[in-house]
Amino acid sequence: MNALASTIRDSWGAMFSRHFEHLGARAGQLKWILAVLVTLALAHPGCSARGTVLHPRFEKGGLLALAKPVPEKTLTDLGAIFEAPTGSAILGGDPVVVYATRNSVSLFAAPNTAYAIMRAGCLDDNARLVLEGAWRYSNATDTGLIRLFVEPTEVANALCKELPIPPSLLKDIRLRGVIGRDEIAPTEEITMAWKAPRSDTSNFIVAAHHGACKTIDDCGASENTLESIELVEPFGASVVEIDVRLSKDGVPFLYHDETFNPRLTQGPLCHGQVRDYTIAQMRAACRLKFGEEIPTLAEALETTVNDTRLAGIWLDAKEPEVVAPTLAVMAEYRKKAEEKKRALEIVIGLGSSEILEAYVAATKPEGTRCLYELDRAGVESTPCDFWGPRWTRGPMNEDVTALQGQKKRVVYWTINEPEFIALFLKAKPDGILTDRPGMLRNKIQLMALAGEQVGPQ
Amino acid sequence: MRRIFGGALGSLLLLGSVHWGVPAAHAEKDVPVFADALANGAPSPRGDAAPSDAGFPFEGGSPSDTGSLVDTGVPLDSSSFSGTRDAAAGEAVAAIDTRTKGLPTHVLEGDLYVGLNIMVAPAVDHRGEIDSTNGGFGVAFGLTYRTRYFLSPFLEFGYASIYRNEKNVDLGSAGGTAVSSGRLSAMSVLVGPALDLWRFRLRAGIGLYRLSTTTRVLGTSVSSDELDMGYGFSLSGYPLRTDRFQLGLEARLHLILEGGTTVFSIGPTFTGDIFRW
Repeated sequence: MNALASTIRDSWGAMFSRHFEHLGARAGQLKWILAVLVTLALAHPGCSARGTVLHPRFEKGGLLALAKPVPEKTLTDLGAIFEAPTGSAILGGDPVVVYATRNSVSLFAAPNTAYAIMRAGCLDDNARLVLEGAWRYSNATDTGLIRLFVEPTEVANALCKELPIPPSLLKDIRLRGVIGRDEIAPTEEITMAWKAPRSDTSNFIVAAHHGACKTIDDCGASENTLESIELVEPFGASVVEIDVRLSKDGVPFLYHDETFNPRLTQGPLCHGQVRDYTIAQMRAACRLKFGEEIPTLAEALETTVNDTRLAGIWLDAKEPEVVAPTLAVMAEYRKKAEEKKRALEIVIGLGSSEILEAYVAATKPEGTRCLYELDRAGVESTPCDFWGPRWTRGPMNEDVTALQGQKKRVVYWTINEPEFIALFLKAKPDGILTDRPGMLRNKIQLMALAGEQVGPQ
Repeated sequence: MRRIFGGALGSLLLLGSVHWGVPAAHAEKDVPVFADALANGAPSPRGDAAPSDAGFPFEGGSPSDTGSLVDTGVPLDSSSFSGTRDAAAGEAVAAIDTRTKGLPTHVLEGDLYVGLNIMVAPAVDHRGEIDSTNGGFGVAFGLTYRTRYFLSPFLEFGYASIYRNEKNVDLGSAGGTAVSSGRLSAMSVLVGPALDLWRFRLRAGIGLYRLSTTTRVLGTSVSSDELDMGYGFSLSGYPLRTDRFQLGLEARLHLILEGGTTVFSIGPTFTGDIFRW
């Protein structure tokens, strides 16, 4: 305290020093003032300790810039369970689930809920198949680049030529390459050997909450956006859950909160109640956290039908008024999906008794399906095919079994911790909604590998 | 929740420091008639008091309560020195007693501020903007209750024009493009302590901000508003002052927490004593 007074005295001159000497004598009071200022500083969002997430990319597009795309039909054949990586310890020491979609290959590892999302390309006249992308720990901001080659050459050649992998070569498959931290070109060697084929868990619903991830987890896209919906499959989910609200001009659109706020949106003019805005005014005043436009429900369903292979979409109605308009849009896109021969289930989620009442009162086009989120008695008395109990109510094993006996499917929401996922999977639900679909995908594949039943009998 | 809790805790601490009360250590004022008394720690007509070289009485009342200038815990006046060889000192004290008698120990002060604002945060994405104005004018008026304690509570109401723009908007599936115009303003009510140091005043307040936004596109306007918690800080300097009035320059920072908006403002400020007792 004396040092502080001394500094002030030196710099501010004699007039001030006399007063600060008195403050110095009243160290108790000055201490309180400093405590208040520090508290205020810590409380301000600008001083929050949350780190910035990097989204590293290979310089000049990496080897993929020189590669040919891998045929969509065959890339999924790469999906399997691989032995724990050797070399680098970044992905941990447990078996890794390799999850391949038509245009991406993802790695899901249990330690640190690590994942890697990679794109594939064929090089050297199909002699080499390269996977390039970035890895990340879901529970931290650690990230970096990863580049893997598919070995042996015969397997790479087969995948690049749209041919099935010869069964005799399955056990010889290795992913070998380099991995690194941050944006630096990766140099740590890493190798993963094929362990077992992936199990068919397609009857189990891995549902992604709000899209690939929550905005706060920053996986490269804001929640409830078209961009996030396109990321859902690489992140390991087969179903996406999105939130639907109604604009002032009666258009259903994707947004979670009742207000526009800095947690989800940006823009100096983007404030106040969501229901006050028309879609046009929303577009004029607001962008989502990472710069995306706020999408309408029709745009989201258009993307889901045309640009993804998702098996389902769960529309969480956030207010009673949005139910009837949502049912109309659902009917339109069910028809579009049928026309495209897409097996896509579109389900409306009913999260309160008021929303349920609006659903019951609404005219329901044929084929409308719903998910009821409250108690068991409620779902038994509604025409809903799904029950979506909140996980905080516990696994409720008996209720799950009873409702499954009534041909209703049960999907818990929203479970993000590995321990709870393991606990709730014991109740044999039909699915789980999570913010970390890769972790859930890893868990159910390893359970299936161990011979455990995943999902209902 | 952490922010709200932290903010509330900070506010309690801040206001608590006022309640616990510490007699004023305010800087001396340039009011010639009271110069002698001020030099010895008596309160000024503005309720300020300069400390004496011997130290200021922190407990048990101020000079203005007792007329004494020495921290003995026993009220003194000029008769305490009668018949002693300190008679000369007694006369000096008597002279100061006369000058300080009847000085106010409580002052209700009115404050007026007019300034120019600039929005510091959030960063603006200027994509599509045809024209924009960051900032505008701000006005605030309030009351400050000054006593012999060195922290003075204040209550203030304010208005600030923050941002306006005109931009091209891609309406997507809503249909084509359009030109929109928008503006953002805030009204505020703040409470907190003010600390006077010589010709400067430092204030830290907590309060509510009503952020209002209006957007006009496709011929229709939409207005929306929200109520946010926030903090306001200010530093004022008063080069011009009289017995009752001060005119100076003030810099302000408003941190509107839930609104994610930070506004800096600078402009002239005026204060005047409304009531003294």
